[in-house]
Amino acid sequence: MEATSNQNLLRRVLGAVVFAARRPLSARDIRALFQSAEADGGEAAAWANLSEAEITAALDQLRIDCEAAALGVQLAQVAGGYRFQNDPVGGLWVRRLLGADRPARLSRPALETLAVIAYRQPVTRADIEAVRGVSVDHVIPVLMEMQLVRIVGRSDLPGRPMLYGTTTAFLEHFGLKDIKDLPGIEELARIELRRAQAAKPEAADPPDAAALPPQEEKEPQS
Amino acid sequence: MVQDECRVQLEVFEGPLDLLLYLIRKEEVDIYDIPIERITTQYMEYLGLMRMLDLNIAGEFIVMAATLMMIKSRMLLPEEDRPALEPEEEDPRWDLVRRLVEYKKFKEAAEHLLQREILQENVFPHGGEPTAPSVEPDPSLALENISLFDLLAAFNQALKRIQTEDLTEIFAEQFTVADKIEEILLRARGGRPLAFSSLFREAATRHEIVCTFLALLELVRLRQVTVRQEADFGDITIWSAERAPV
Repeated sequence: MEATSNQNLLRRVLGAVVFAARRPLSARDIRALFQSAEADGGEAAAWANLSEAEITAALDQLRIDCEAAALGVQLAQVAGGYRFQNDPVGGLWVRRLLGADRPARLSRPALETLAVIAYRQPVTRADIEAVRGVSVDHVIPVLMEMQLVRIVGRSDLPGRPMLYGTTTAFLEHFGLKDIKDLPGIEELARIELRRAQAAKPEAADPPDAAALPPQEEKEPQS
Repeated sequence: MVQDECRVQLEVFEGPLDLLLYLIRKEEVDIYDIPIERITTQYMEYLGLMRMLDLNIAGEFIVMAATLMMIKSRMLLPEEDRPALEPEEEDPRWDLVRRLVEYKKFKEAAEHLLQREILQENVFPHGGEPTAPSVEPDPSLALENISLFDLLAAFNQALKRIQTEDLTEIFAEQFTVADKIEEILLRARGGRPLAFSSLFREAATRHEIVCTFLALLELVRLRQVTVRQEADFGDITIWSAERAPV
């Protein structure tokens, strides 16, 4: 009985915190918040003992509760955190209310380029062009300006070409939890990189490394 | 072919792999067993159309044409006479097939991203500002569920219809792309869809068809009209931009 009501309390507090936040909050963010009150002692201090796993479990339960209640509001996992957002069903009216225009959509070449970057990151321009069979010179600046893509380092190939990866804004734009949330990421990342592969066998070797979120700078290879 | 008054600078952002995948789909052939002769002929036909229209196409199109020709000639050789470039590469088509299959997977991934993007258009986060970065219309043609090659195919049909009547060209009046832009806008203004074929029904000459088609591409690029195709390889309709269904 006691445990159930504690769970209930935790869920309500989490809902309140995520609701008030102005950005997606991760379980880690929330744990840090709870721990920041530890020194105050008293009732607040008890919250500092909650683990990230307990917080995540409660958030997930809250997400399920919201969905079951069909409130028109969802607790969504986006870009590594939780946030409240409207049910897409009401999107038309929310847009009208906010006076927002329907945003232009990305073009096919832009989407394809983005797909190659997302699945294969970090990648060079040559890697992308090897897949698309055509130059991406006009697309990359557009994606960079929209901050969907960023330079994550430089390759060790001759000329040290730049390596591109996706950004948090990319995850938000497509409503993705993290990069592994992309369907079929295992398979698409694993198809060997032709051409580029020949030049950097070690980089292409562990396929899972390519599927990970962009690193700041690639490890220099010997 | 295209006279000066018809000149429109149109950049093509599709590449040769897009054209090949389009032809494979259209001809309903097996990607792992491409009838290279047939596909090469078609590829050259579309390349010819794009050149006739003076579209700015990537140099990669020419490289691919050469590749196709080479594969075709190697296929003609008896198997034992083929140059043994790489031992495991017995079928001269193999490298191309691999590229096509890989690219096709990414096209599907891009399609999935598009579906997510459409869903996210209707999602607004609580608390924060709208997070979606404003999308700059990039310079490519605003084609949604239709490819440039679908348009070229329809254009080709219109051309073929007129081919036998070429003689009338001498008497026909000359049109400019600008004239045709006005005409299309006027006809699409009612908000009702305009059938692609109806644009060319009264066209008397190749020149007129070319001008009309270039006018259409220009209007699409300027986002004044949108072009739709309800079924795969089905009829194409033209909608004035502000009236197009979502």
